[in-house]
Amino acid sequence: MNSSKISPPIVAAVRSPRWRSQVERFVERLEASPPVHWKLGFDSVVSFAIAHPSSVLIAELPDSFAEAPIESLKLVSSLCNNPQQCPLFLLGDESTEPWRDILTEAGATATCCSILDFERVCLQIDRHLENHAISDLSVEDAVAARLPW
Amino acid sequence: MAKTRKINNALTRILDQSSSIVYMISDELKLCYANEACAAWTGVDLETLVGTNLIYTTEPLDDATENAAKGLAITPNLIATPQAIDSFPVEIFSYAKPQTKTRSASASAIYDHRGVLSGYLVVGSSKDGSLQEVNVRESIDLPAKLHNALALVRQQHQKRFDLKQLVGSSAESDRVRRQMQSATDSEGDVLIIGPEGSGREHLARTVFTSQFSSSQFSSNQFSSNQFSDSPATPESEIETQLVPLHCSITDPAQIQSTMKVLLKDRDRKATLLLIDVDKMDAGSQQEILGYLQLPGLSARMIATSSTKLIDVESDFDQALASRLSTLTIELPPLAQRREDLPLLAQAILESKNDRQAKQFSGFSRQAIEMICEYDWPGNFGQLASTIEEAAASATGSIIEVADFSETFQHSIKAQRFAAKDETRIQMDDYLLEIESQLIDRAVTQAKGNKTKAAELLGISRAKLLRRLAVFKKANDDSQTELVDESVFEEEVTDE
Repeated sequence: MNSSKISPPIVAAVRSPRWRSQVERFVERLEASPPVHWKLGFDSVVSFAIAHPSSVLIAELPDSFAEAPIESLKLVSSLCNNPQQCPLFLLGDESTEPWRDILTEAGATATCCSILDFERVCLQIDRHLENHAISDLSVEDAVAARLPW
Repeated sequence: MAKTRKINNALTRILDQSSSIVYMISDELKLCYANEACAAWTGVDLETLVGTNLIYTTEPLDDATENAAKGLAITPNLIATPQAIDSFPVEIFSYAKPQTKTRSASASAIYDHRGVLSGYLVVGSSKDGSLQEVNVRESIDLPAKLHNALALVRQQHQKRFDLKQLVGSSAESDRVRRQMQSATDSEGDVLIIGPEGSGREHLARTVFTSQFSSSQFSSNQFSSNQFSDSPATPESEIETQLVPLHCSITDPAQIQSTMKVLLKDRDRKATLLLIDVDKMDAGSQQEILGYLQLPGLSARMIATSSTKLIDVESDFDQALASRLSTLTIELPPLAQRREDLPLLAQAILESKNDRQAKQFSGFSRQAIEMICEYDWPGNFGQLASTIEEAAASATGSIIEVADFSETFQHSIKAQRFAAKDETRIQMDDYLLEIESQLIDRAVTQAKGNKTKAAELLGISRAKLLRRLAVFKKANDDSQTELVDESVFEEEVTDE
């Protein structure tokens, strides 16, 4: 409770253990200790973003993305069009690479096609959390943000 | 017959006089023909060049001819499937000083009358390029991309040291390289701190040997120990024949004899290499410090340690710690320089090419992804052994995910599903913190007026003052100061 600034939350919709462990480890090494909210689908990410400005959205693209990209692009658009304009980081695999530009055009802040891409994106997320640290939180928010579970 | 000879001579003359690089590689990957332009490109005379083994690596090779000719090697995975690709573009390199150059070339497979592959004809373009201009189709040819990137890194950073573990272009690698430069440029004591397998001993030996003239003691003498932090090696013995005196101490028993040598001839410039100094017992630490404090005895100390020595909680002799820590180089674990992993893995694999007939191009994209995902708690040593193991079981010239051992694949899975540490809180303290913050906010809101603040909080003024006193006391206790209760008593009596 002593820290005057609290980092905005990260909301993550990540299914695969590979990406989940990467996101978890990234959050662990963040000095800002942002609260992380794990969601199951894109829809709940959007609802969360509406209520929490400045939060960071991390979403894993569906496995079928490369086969049916149009369907997924619709979902991505819904994430990108969140009214709070929260930064959106998409996680995929090498098959996502050719779609990177299109996803950026659709509104994704960055798309990670590999672990190394994610390493680079981590710096971006870190900066965002630092720049958007909140100091005038309500007591409830401050308590909620500090709750460990 | 005479006509055939005449044609052959004419053909040889045309090729020899060509300004384009032309060479042929046998199916055993030996250079079986090269023209003058090719010899000029490598910087080796034609007679010596022809017949050389072409090793696919960017690492400096001991054999000067092989080292010069290595830039002519074709990516092994392209020649592994000649039936699939008969003609393909390649990049060739010239590692002749002062700068690595590259040219694009075209390689064509040549078959004998039975359809058996007998070699490759390579014709280079006439225009040089720079390494930065190499444009490899990333999605298709990752191994070649990494090979070229490695050549560029070696050209940029490794002119002075051959630091195998510091291949890479991450900010952390750059920092260590800069500190290494300072360490070798100065004569001050150096302490190298790093986790197990991070190559701290290799780095220390590099600083250590950089002081020797090549005629006295070449850095190659340390090559057997480059990949590990293993203790006592033959070169750790005191080499009294050398002037200046240099020795490495890995065993406390060596301290006394080393120092006696130093004492006998105090005018000699001396450098002592102390490996794993943090494991040295208190007696040995005192002994070294005692010797170093003797008048007239001066020695440069290069030490390695797995932990920081200057630390209030450390058992290590703080006087000796201060003496050793003049310049401290901290080696990051591999998990903190993940972006270096692809190049590092490629460098390890290419270093194998030098030692065996089977040549490897690199890794598949999935394999590199797997390498990048893992944390490598054993650092460089673990990475090197894992890659060597994968290379031993690989059937092709590109290392695939399936080539890695089951143990390694299980380790990655275990990392993905690692048990999380439980986060625990002390509820009373936690609630106290929240209460403290609420009171702070109320007092700020009421501009310091306690009565108003108490109203905002819905409590009596007396209760607010009591709570403030409790928080102040807790705060003061934490600063181990006495509380002046009189201030609060005064306020209460005011009421």
